[in-house]
Amino acid sequence: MIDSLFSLLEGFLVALTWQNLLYCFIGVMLGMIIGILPGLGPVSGTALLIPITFGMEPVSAIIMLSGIFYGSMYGGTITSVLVNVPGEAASVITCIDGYEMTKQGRAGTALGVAAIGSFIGGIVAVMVLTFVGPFLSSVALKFGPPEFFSIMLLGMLMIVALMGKSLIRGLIAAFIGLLLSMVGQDIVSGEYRFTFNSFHLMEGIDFAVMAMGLFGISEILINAENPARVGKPPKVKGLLPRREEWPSTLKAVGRGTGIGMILGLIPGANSIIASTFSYILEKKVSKDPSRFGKGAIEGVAGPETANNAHSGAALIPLFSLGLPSSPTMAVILGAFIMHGLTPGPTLFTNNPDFVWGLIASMFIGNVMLLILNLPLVGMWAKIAMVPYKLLFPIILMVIFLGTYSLNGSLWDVGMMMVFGIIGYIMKKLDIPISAMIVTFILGSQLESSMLQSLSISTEGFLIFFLRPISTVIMLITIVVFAMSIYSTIKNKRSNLEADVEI
Amino acid sequence: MKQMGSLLKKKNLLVLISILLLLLSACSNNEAKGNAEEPALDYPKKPIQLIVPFAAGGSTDIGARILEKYLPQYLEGAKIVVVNKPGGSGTVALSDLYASKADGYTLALTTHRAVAMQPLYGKTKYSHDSFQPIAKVFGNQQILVVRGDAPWKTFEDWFDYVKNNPGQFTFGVAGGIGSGSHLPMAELERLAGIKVKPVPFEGTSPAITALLGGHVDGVILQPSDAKAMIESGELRAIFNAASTPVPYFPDIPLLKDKGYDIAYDSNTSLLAPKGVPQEIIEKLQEAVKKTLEDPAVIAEFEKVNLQIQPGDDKSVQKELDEENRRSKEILTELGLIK
Repeated sequence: MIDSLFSLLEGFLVALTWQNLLYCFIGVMLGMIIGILPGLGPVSGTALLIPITFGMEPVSAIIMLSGIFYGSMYGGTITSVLVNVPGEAASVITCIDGYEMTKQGRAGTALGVAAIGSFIGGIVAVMVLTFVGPFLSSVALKFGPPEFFSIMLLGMLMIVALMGKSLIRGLIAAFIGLLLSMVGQDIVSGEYRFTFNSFHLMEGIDFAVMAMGLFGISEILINAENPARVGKPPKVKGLLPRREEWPSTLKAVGRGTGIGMILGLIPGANSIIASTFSYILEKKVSKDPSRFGKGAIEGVAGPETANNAHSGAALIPLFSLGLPSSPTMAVILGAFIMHGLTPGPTLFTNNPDFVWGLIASMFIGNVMLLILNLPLVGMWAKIAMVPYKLLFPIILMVIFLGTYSLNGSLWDVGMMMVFGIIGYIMKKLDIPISAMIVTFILGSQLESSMLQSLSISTEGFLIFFLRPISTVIMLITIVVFAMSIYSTIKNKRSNLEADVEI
Repeated sequence: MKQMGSLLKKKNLLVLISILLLLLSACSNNEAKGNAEEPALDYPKKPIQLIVPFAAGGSTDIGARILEKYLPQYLEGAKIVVVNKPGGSGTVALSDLYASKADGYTLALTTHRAVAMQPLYGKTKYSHDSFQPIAKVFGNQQILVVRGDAPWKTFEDWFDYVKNNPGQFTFGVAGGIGSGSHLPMAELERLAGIKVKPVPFEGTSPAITALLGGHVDGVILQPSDAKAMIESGELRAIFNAASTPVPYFPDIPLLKDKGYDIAYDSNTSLLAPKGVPQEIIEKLQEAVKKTLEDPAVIAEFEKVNLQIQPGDDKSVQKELDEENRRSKEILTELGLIK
């Protein structure tokens, strides 16, 4: 423990050299920009910049690439809150209450809380995991395919059962999401599904194309329909939560940190699971769950903290086991190997300067992001004050350009527009879009983990109930589902759902 | 020129046009100079996209990133951009390469298996002879690993277990059922009369994760993907399904030495779509050859445990044809294809 503290101090010596400070700054800045730009996510961002790092010292290279990774988590929030377009997958959940807050003139508060929460989540995750992470990561290996399957099922079910206005609507959204996730080539058999012999659909549907249409375009359509609302954006009132909101906000930040950290340790767990769980938990513990979806500050603070804590924690399985826990981590793993470093148990003993330097740089990077973000929040929030008749054409332009720039394909643009119309219809029918997009993101992983479980199993589907961790999660899932059905029948969903213990 | 200017009556447009013309003439001047010195081959004049059909961090990707770094030194003016397009055991990316423009700006670094074996399933537009090979770059083996605390210390221990417990041993295959990492074991099952259970994973990393967590009993992988873990004793190698021993683990027994006629090599070559002009192919071949002879490159490949195995386009195509023929036989015998 004390040794670790000294090593960390030595790490600061490495991280505080002027080159490394500069690379850290460049990394978090680029990350923020990548997060803000719709379409470009952290995976493509880090992959694009790997070649630039070749001439650099290994430690500087990894400091910069990691900075891009956690910086993009900050950036993704900004567009989610301001214009209802998630900059990257983990920010989908933030759209729900973040954008509502913007409509009420509280864009500044939403962004301010997100920046503070992200900072606390990021720092605490790195700090705690520095000391206890390596011990925990071997426990996290207990999560095999059956456990992944059950945790993803639980995540999907909670969002389906508790997000929308009714269980049926949630299920409709989930089925559409799952169906769409199957488009493209099946990883298990190599078979093409639902591609209608179109070359464009062979790789499946791009998340960014879908999100920009479903969230961005549909929002503009809904607003355009009602000219009375167009033209009078609400005033921005303050950048910080009201005094009475502080306790609940800080509690949400604390819970988000915990959830993000735990899920980040499990190699393979997606950051969207962390933000979803945090959102649902906040809704559960809230005294008045009906505020959620209408601009609840905890609905921004919790998930935003969780996804940043997750991104910090996700580095631990990479360091201690040499296993990437997400696609972005896989890119960073490639960079490690390229620079002659072998992540794994020997990394801490063979390259202590490197590991502790990187960890120290994450402290510094998070401080930089907070300093960069708080003054910028006021500026970003002013965007929300631009009259809709000016703002909407600009958003449209950015969405169209962003979609086209993904692959330089007009097919993507057309598909994005189709999703815009689908999103509009879904909003009209009160079918929760977030339930659809979360099931879409998790769908392929849900499918492959189920097929893996069944291959391992000698008892067929019983495998999900024969392993302790999986059994517990499955039982919770069943209880949540049963309670939702029960309360739907009773037609008192909003009262009863608060009683479900999860 | 003047007529146009007066027609348009816009001074700044005139200026713009004259600047453009100036630039154009400057360019043609350069070309003329080049012509005088050597045959006109204005390649490369924009970044070359190097498609990797597998996820970032795997052997193919790492090899591609070494080429990305060093090849431009031997190919003047080149900038190489690695693009990872995983999916479908490499077929997604190779379908893209097949459909791409044959101008030398889209290349792929790919395993022979994705080109020679996958088309046998009849789902790809391309076949094993649809591409223009440029050069062979590196080779690798395929080995079966189990956890270090597993009860099987030797091939014989393991073999006795699977022989006496049919259908009990589970092993992860990166890329799915019927993919390259599944075939050696399927072939062994047939030749030795054993029965084991394949579990499909998206890639090697998730499969190793599942192995370390005890969710599967073994994984078929390339030794370079698990070198550190084998050295530290976390994983143990049971057999080598290739035709050559692993240079840094010569003790892993070869299946062919154990009396089974199995030899699955994992070779990786640089390919282009058919129809790329011959001069460009030759220029690329020359550059790759020089790159692979560079001591710095050799050191880089050694550092990441990949074995450089240079070879020209003809030998690559010969290997592709051979692998296609052999895989067809085995897959048909196994009933995986008709």
